[in-house]
Amino acid sequence: MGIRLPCAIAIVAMMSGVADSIASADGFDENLDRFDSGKLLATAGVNELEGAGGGGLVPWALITGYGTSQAIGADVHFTHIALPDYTIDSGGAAVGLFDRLELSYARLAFDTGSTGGRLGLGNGFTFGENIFGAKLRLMGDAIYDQDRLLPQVAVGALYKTNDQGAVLRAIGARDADGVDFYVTATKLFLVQSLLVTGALRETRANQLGILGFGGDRDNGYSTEFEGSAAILLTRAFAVGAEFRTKPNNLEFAGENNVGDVFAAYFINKHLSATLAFVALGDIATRKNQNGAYLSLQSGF
Amino acid sequence: MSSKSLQRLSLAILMMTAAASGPKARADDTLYRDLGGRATLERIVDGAVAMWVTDARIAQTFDNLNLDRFKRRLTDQLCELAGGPCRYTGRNMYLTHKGLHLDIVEFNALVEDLQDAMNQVRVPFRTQNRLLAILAPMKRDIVTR
Amino acid sequence: MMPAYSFRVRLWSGATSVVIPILLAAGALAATSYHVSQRDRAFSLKAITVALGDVIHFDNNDDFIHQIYIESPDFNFDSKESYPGNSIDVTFAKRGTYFVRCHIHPKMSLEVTVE
Repeated sequence: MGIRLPCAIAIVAMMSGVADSIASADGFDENLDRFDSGKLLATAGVNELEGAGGGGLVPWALITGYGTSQAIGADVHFTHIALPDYTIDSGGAAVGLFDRLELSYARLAFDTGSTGGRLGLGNGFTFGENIFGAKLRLMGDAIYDQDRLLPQVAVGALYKTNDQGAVLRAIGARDADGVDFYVTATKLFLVQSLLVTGALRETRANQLGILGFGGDRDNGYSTEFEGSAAILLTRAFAVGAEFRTKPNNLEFAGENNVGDVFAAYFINKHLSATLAFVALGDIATRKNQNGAYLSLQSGF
Repeated sequence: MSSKSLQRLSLAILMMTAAASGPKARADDTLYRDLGGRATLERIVDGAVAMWVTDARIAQTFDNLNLDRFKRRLTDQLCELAGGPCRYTGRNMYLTHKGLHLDIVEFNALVEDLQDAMNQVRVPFRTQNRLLAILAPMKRDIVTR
Repeated sequence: MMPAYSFRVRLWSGATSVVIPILLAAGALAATSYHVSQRDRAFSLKAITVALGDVIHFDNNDDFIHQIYIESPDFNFDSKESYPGNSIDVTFAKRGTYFVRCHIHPKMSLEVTVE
């Protein structure tokens, strides 16, 4: 409990302070369109599984939404992952404020299906997780600073709560909620038509929090690495790959590094679709959970 | 290494990477040739200007402007930046645009219409991006609002 | 010994040698200088009336480069481009009405009537 509440309070205070100073520094100009959808197509990314703006599994340093630095953008997303033994559904909304601060919410549902019966939980047993996210762009401009090596850098936090506390404790997890902290850097190399992200995350989450936080094997925070590379084929179409390393906190089931290859189609600034093949490794004793990922995002 | 010297080292690395140069006006004319030379650049500029003057987001900027003179100068500039045998003799991007008080929405409108103009003359996407890589940093000088 | 010229002749030549330079100087002072500003891609005036021989200084008080040209049967003028902070002088030595334009900004126009 110790660090979580002060951290959450600090994050909320930081967010409101930043939002305040951004809004007032801009001044009041009635000719300004606060919902300008002015960003270039695809430069807001999509939403990764935990709701943050980014790719499919990795949060990027880009702020979600098409609102420029003088405006606000927002989006909703729905993601479905079909695995051999489970399904994962994610739905949520995110807001981008002045291309500086991003706030997101996602609800993850991890449905054990018939595997639930085999695990002793009952068929169709579902772990539900609420994820509240905040991301702050610190410096750099991934798109325009083509003459500098400095990437766009953002820091973020994801506060996750799982609704199956009793079961989590039974499988060896220590907590039903937890906070991930991450720093992410994104750079668009226009000369190569290549978008690259690298991130570091401090987390105690088991399977992104689906199986709780901390465990009987390892209980502390661990540092994880994440990366994403996408080739822009047209203004509206990108293909790429991602990877994420994960902790291995539970004795009852091992956890692996995960990855995906994806194709994202930006129909326009209001609709995008992402199709991926995800390799999620071993989940709750079921091996090689590889499957299809489909995500739709709508916003402005 | 002490934490203070680590901080100093990180700051130094940050500043070096920030100052490190990336795409600038080309030393060779590969991009100029890949774009199709002066003839295609003129068609691109014609197409872009035709869109800009009817694009509600940016049309006002082109009101009261000698478009022939503007097109000639813009073509000279793009030609030179792409490594072609031209010389742009106008003022720098900050001074030329300062009086227009352009914002990021207007700048992006210029980019999008330029991309459309390059699509119209079938410049390959990757080649378009090589030109945009040289133009993108101008955002810092052109956007003043 | 009395001078060859009478007192009246000397008085007259003395007077004219003083008065004529004063008249000439007064005539030169009578050619007025006007300042018209180029600002926000427009002239600071729509129209102006000047006297024969007057000068208009076109001051570039703008963020943009400007230029001055006049095209008419009686009077033609075409300046170099003028950077912010610079000035172009035009002397109107023929009577008539002229439109001063800028070749960079086609909507700029100043009507000058020379009397």
